[in-house]
Amino acid sequence: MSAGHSTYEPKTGFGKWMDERLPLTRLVYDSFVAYPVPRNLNNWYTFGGILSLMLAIQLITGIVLAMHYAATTGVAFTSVENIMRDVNYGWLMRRMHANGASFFFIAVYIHMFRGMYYGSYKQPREVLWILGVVIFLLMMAAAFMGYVLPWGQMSFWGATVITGFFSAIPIVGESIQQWLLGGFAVDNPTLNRFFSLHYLLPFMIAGVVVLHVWALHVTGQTNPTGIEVKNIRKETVPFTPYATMKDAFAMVVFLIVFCWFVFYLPDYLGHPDNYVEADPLKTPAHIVPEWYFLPFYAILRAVTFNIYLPFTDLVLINSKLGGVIAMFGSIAVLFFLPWLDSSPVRSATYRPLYKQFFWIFAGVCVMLGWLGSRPAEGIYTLLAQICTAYYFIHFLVILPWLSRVEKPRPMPASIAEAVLSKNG
Amino acid sequence: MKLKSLFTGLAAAAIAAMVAVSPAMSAEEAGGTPHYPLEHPKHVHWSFGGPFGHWDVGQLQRGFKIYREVCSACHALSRVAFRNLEDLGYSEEQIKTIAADYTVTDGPNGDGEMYDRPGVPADRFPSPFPNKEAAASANNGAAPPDFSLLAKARAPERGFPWFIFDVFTLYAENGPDYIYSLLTGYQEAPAGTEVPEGANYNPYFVSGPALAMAAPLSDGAVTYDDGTPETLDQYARDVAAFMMWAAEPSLVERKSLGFKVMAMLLLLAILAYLTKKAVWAGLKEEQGTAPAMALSSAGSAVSAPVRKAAPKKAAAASRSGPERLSAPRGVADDLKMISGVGPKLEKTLNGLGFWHFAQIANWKKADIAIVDGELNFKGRIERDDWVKQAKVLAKGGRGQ
Repeated sequence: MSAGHSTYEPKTGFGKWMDERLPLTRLVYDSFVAYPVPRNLNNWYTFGGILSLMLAIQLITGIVLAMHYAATTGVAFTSVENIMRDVNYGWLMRRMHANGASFFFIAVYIHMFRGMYYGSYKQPREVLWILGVVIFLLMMAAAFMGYVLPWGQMSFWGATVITGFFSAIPIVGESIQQWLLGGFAVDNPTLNRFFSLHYLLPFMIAGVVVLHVWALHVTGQTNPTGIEVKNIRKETVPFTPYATMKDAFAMVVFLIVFCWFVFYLPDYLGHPDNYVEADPLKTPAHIVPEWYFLPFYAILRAVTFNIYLPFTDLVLINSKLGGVIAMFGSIAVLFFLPWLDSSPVRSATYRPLYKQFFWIFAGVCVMLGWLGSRPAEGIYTLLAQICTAYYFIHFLVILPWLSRVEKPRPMPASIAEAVLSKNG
Repeated sequence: MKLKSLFTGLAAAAIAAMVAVSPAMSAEEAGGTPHYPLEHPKHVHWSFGGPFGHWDVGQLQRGFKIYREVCSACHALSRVAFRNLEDLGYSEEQIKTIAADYTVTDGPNGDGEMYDRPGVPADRFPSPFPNKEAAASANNGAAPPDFSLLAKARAPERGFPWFIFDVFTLYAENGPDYIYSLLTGYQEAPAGTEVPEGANYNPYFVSGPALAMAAPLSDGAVTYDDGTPETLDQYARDVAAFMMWAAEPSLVERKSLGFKVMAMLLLLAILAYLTKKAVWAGLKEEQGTAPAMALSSAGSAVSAPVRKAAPKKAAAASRSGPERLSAPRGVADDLKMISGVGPKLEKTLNGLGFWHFAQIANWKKADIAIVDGELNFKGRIERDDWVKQAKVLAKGGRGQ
C-alpha cells in the first residue's frame, strides 16, 4: 500500500512461508508500521485515526443493537425502549450509537476543514479527496436512515420531508419517491428497507475507507507546510510508534469528550420529539433534522423563490426543486474543489488571503447550521439566503479568483527549514 | 493590512448578527406569531441532576403515590413494569402487593377466552383506557399522554447562548423542570389572550397558550405519611422526579458508570500522553534533529546541538558544525564527481544543505564527524577523503 519498496522481513519460518503465499503481514507492516509520515503533523491530523475508531464503535454497537431491534412500525419504537430499559447495558449501546453518529460527524467535519485549510485536496491528492467526499455522502445516507429506525416523531417526519425532495424532480420525481418509500407514504416498507440499507452502508463506508487509506499511502500525507517530503530520513518518522502513539493519545482525548455526552448529556444532541412514537396524523411544530444536517437544511430552505425563464412568466425551476438543487449542489461542489482552487500553494499558512476567506467560510457554515435550526421565516430566511449565496461564491468565485491574484508568502525550501524557522 | 481589518470586521459583524438576531426575533414574534412555551421553565434543584446525581427514594415514592392517586386516572405508564419499582426502594413483597392491586387482562386461555387476573411483578402498568381513541373520547378529544417517556419528550428548547453553557454545566433537567413549571403554572389568562373553550391557560405549556388538562393538583390533595409538606409545589416536584425516573430508570446507573469510565479514560489519557512524549523525545535524541533541521536561508550555521555520538572534539569546536545552505548559490556542483558519492548520496547531501565542492572542502575534522554521523557512514568520508577530492574539484581540477 505504501509508495516505495517494502522493508518487511519475516522473522519466523512460518512468517516466511506465509509471506510467499499471502503477504498480509507485509501489507500491514508497510502500511501501519514502516509507513513514513511527515514529522511535523499537528493534532488536526489525528482525526483520520479518530474517524476509523468512530466507525468501529458504530459497527460494534450497531451490530449489538440490531440483535434487539425490530424493524416493524408497530414495534420499532417499543423495541428501542426495551433496549433502553430491559436489555443489559442496552441503554449504553444505544446511547453510544446515537451519540456516536454525532461524534462521527464532528470528527468528519474537523477532518474536512483541516483538509481545506492545508489544501490537502490538491494535486496529486484529488482522488484521495474525492473518495473522502464519497465517504461523507455515504455517512449522510447511513445517518439519515439510522435516525428513522427508532420510529419517533422526528424519525417519521424527517423521513417524510427528506424523501419528499425527490418528488421535486420533474416528470420522474413522484415515481422515484414511491420507489424509495415502497409506497405512497413513509410506512412499514420504508422502515424495512431503511433498516436493511442502514446495516449495509457502514460496510460500504468501510470499503471506501480502505480505498481512501490506500490513496493516502500512495501519495503520502500532506503536512502543515504543504511542502512535499523531500528527504524521507529527515522529514518523516515511521508510522509506528510515532504516529500510532500520537493518534492513540488524540483518540483517548476525543473519547473523553464523547463519553461526556454519552454519560452526562445523552439527549443533548437529540430532539425531544423523538421520544414520542411516530404519528402520521400529527405533524410536529418544527421539523428539524439532526444537527449535522442543519447547514444543508438551511440551504434547502433558503430557496424560497421560483426561477423564471428570462423575460417570461414561465417557471423554469420552482422553489422546491431550486432548494433541492442548491442542497445537492452544496455537496457536489466539493467534488470539484481540487480544480476550483488551482493555487499551487497548499497550506493556508502561506496564503494570507485564503486564510481569511477560509475562516469566513467556516463561520458561514456554522451560521448556516444555526439558521437551519430556526423556523424558516422573516430575517432567518434572508440570512440563510445570504449565507447560501456566500457558500457557493466561496467555491465558485473566491477560490478561482484567489488562485490568480493572491501573492503567497515566501515559502521555505523544505519541511525541515519550515520547522526550524518556527522553532528557531 | 487594510484588507485584513476589513475581513476581521466582517467576521465580527457576522457573529454580532447571530447574537443580535436572536432577541430581535423574539421581539418580532411578540407582535406576530407567538413562540411556545410563552415562559421558560423554572429551575428546580433535583437530586438526580449533575454528574453525581442519585434518586431521592423518598421523593420517588411520594411521586408514585401522586401518580397512583391522581394521575393514573387518565395517564398510562405502559412502559414501566411493577418489578422496576425496586428502584424506588420497595421490597419484593411490597412490589407483589402493589402489583396485585391492579387487574391485568391476560389470555387467551385454553378456551380462547381473555381473562382478568391480579397483576404480578413482571406485568407492566395497565393503562386506564383500552386504546388511544377511548382515551381521547373520554377527555374532550385530547388523549392524555403516556407518562413513560414524558419527562424526556417535553424539553423546551434552551436557545442561544444557553445551549452552549449547558455543555459545561451539564444541565439536562429541562424535562422535569418543564413538568414542575407546568403543574405549578396554571393561572388566569392575561387580558387579550384568547383561551379556547374548555382549555386552561398556562404560559409554560409547550405547544400553545392553553391545554386541555385542568390543574390536576392542589394543596392537600394527596396525603403524605413522611411529614413532607402537602403543598402543590412539593407535589409538582415529587411527581416530576417520579416521571424522570419512569422515563429513564437507568439514569443513575448511567451517571455512576460514567464517572468510572471518565476516571479510567483520564488515567489512560495521561499514560498515553507520557508514552507519546517519551517516544518522540527518543526520536529527537536519536536522530540529532538539530543539525539536520538547522538550516537557514542566510547560509549561516545556526547553533546546532551536536549529535550525542559525535566525538567530543566536535562539541569543543569553535564553530557549531559545517556551513549549510538551504539552496545552492547559483548552480549546484555535481557532487557525484567525488568518488564514493552516487546520485542517492548526492540527494542526501543536498538535503543536508551541501551543494558545492567549496563547502565540503572547508570541512574540519569535527565537521566530518557530524556529517558522518548524519549519513550514518562509519568513517567513509575520511576513508574516501572527500575533503581532499572536493578541494581539487573546487579549484576546477578533476579528481583521481
